[in-house]
Amino acid sequence: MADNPPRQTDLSATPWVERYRPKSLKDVSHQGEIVATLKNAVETNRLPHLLFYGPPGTGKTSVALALCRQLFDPSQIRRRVLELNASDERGISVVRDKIKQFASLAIGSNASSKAGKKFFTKGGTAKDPDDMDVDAEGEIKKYPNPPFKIIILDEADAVTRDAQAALRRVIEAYSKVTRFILICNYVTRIIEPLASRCAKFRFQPLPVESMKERIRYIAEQEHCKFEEGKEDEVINEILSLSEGDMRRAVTTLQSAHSLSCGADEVIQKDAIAEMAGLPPPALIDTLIKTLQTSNFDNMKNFVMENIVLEGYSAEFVLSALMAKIIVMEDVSEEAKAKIAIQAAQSDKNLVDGSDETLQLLTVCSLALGCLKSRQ
Amino acid sequence: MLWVDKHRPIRLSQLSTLAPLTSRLTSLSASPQTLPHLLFYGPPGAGKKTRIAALLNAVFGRELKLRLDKRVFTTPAGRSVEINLVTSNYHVEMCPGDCGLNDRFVVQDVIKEMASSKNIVAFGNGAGGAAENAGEDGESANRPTYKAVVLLEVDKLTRPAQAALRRTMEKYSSSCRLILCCNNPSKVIEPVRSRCLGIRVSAPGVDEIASVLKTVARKESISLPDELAISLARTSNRNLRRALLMLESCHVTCRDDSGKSLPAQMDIPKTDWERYISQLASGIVREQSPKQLMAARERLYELLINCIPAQVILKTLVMELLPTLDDSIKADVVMWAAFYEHRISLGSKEIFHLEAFIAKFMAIYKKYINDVFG
Repeated sequence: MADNPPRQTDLSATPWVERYRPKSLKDVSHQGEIVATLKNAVETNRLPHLLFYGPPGTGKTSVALALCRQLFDPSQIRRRVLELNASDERGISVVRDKIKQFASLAIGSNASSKAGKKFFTKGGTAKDPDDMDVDAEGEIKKYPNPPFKIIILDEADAVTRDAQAALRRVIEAYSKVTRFILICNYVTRIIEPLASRCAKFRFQPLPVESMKERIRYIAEQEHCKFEEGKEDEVINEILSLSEGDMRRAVTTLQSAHSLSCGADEVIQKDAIAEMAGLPPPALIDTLIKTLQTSNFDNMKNFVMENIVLEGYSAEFVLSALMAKIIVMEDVSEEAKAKIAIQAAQSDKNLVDGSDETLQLLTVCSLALGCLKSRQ
Repeated sequence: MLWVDKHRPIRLSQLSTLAPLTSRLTSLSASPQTLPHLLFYGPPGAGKKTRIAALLNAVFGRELKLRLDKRVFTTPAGRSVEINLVTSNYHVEMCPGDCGLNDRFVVQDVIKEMASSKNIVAFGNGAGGAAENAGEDGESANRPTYKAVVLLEVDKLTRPAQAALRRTMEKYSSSCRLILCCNNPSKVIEPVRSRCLGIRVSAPGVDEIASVLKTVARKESISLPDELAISLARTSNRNLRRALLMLESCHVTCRDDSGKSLPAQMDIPKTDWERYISQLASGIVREQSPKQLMAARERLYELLINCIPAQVILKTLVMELLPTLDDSIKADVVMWAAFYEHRISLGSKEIFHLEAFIAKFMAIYKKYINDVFG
C-alpha cells in the first residue's frame, strides 16, 4: 500500500468488503454456472433481463456491478448504468418518471454508437485503439460497449407491488435499449409477471472451501496477525458463524483485525462470536446446566443477570438454546417438541414486540420442568 | 445540572466501567481511518451513548462542539416532517424513529444527503490521510476524512427504513461511518447487522456501579457509606443512570444538617408507582375474590392515568408476585404473564389484558391453595 500514496486516502477509509469486491466476472468465486452463463451472454450479445435472488452476502450485487464494469467503458458507465436501491425512493411515481425516462432515451450518437456498431460487426473483438484501455496488470482490456443501457434494481423485494406492476410494461416496451437487472433476497416477493420476463439466477450460500480461500487471501493482503499456529481455527470459526454469508465473514475479519491492531495483539478465536453479536457457546452451556439442575429462582436470576442485563438478545439466545436442546440425547422426544413449540411461540411474540425477559423466562421455565423430570 | 450529565465521562480514558470493552474501543480509535460501521447494543443505562460520544472524541481528536439543529423535509406524499438533530462539524446524531412511519424518508433523504457529502473539515486539511502514521494526537493530518452519522434506537426503525440503510452503508462508506445504537440487536435486520461491527455494552456490575457512585460522591464532597452505595447499585437493577439519579435524590431528601454525609442505613426512596404496584401485588395474594378484582381495577386505572406504560406495570407486578409463590405455580404465572404482555403489545385497550392477567393469577393461586390445604 505504501507505494501508492495518492490513493491511500480513499483506500484506507474503505471497508474491506468494498475494497475486495470482485472487479470483474472472473474474480467472482464459486457462482460458476451463473458467471459462465453471463460471460456467454456478454460474448454473444444476447443479454436477457436478469433476476438475481439468494440469501445475503452471496455476491448478487457484486456480479451485477462486475457485469456492468465488464460491458462498458469506465467513461460510459455513468451514462449507461442506473443503479436504484432501497435507499432511493421507488414508489410508483419513480417508476413512471425516472425509470421510464432513463429507459426510453436512445443511446447517444458519438463514441458509444461507434463501439456499438463494432460490437455487432466483429462480435466484440474490436481492436480500435479508441476502445482499448490498459488495466493495472498491463493487459489490454476491451469493452464491448453494447448498444443498450442497464438499470439495476437492487433490493427489488422492497419495491411495492404497484410499482412492480407499473414496471411490467416498461420492461417490455424499452427492451430494445434497456436491460433490467433485478436483485432480491426473496423471489416470492417479486410479482409473477415481472419474474417471468427475466432470466432467473439463484445464488447459493457459499461453501466453506471457496470462502476460506478468499478470506485467507484478504488476511494475507491486510497482514492480519492470528494467534500463533491457530490461523485455521480462527478462520474456521469466522466461517462457521457467517453461514455462507461472504460479507459477514469479511466484516468479521476486519472487525477482529481492527480491534487487535492497536498493540502487538493477535486475533483470538474467542473474540469472534462476541464480534458477530452472538451469545458465546459457554453461556448457552451454563444455561442448559442451570436448567437441568437448579430450581426456578436460580434460573430466574441467571436469566436476568447473565442474559438480559449482559445485553444478549433473547432471540439469539433462544435459537442457540434450541440448537443445543434438539440434539440432547437424554431428553424425550415429547419434551423437545413441547419446548420447540413454546420457543416458536415466544419468537413470534418477540417479533410482535413483547418483553424479552418474560418470553425468555417462559421458555426457560418450561424447559426447566422438562429437562429436570428426566434426571 | 444533574449529576448524571455533570459527571459523564467525555474521554475513553475516563470510562470507569467495563474495562475490556474500553480497551477495545481504544484500539479501534487508534486507527481512525479503518473504523468499521458500528452497532452498539445493550440494556438501558449501561453507557452506550457515553461510549459513542467518547469514541467520537477520540477518533476526531478533539472535543466536539455540539449544537442543536432542526431539519424539515417533505415526504413524497407532500407532508412536511421535522426532525431534531444534534450536530457538530464532524458528526450528526439523530433518532429517525421519532418520525414514526416517515422514518424511511429520513433515511432516504437526510441520511443519504449527509452521507454522500464529505466532511468539510477534511477538505480544509487537504484530505490528508496520506500521512496516516505521521501525526501525533491532535495533529490534523491524522484525522479521518469521513463524518460520523449516529443513529439512535435503530431497533425502533421500520423495516423499509432499515432496508434503505443497506446500500447507503456500502455506497458512501468512504465518506461516512454509521454508528447505530439500540437495545435489542435482533430487531435490526440481518443485512444491516452483517455490515456492522457489533459492540455489546453489558450492564455494569454492582461493584462497578458502587465504585462510580463513590467517585461521584467524592467529587460532590459528600461522604457515601459503602453499604448504601451497594444497596443503591442493587436497587437500580444494574442501571448506572438510575443509580446516579437515585443517589442524587437520596442526597436531596435526607441530607442532614451539615449537608455532607448520608446515613449507611437509609431507605432508598422507591418511586410512588413502584410502591403502589407492590401494594397491589400483596392485595391480590391476600385475597382472591371479585371484590379484590374491583379494587385492583381501581389501582390499575390510577397507574395508567399517571402514564405508567401497561407493559411496565405488568412486568413489575410479576416480579413482585414471583418471590411470594410456590415453585410449582411460578412457571404457570410467568407463562400467563408473557401471554398477556404479548396481548398488550398487539391490542389497543391495555386495561383488559391487565385485568385478565390478575383474574388469571387469582384463579391459579386459588386452585393451588385449595389443592394444598383442601
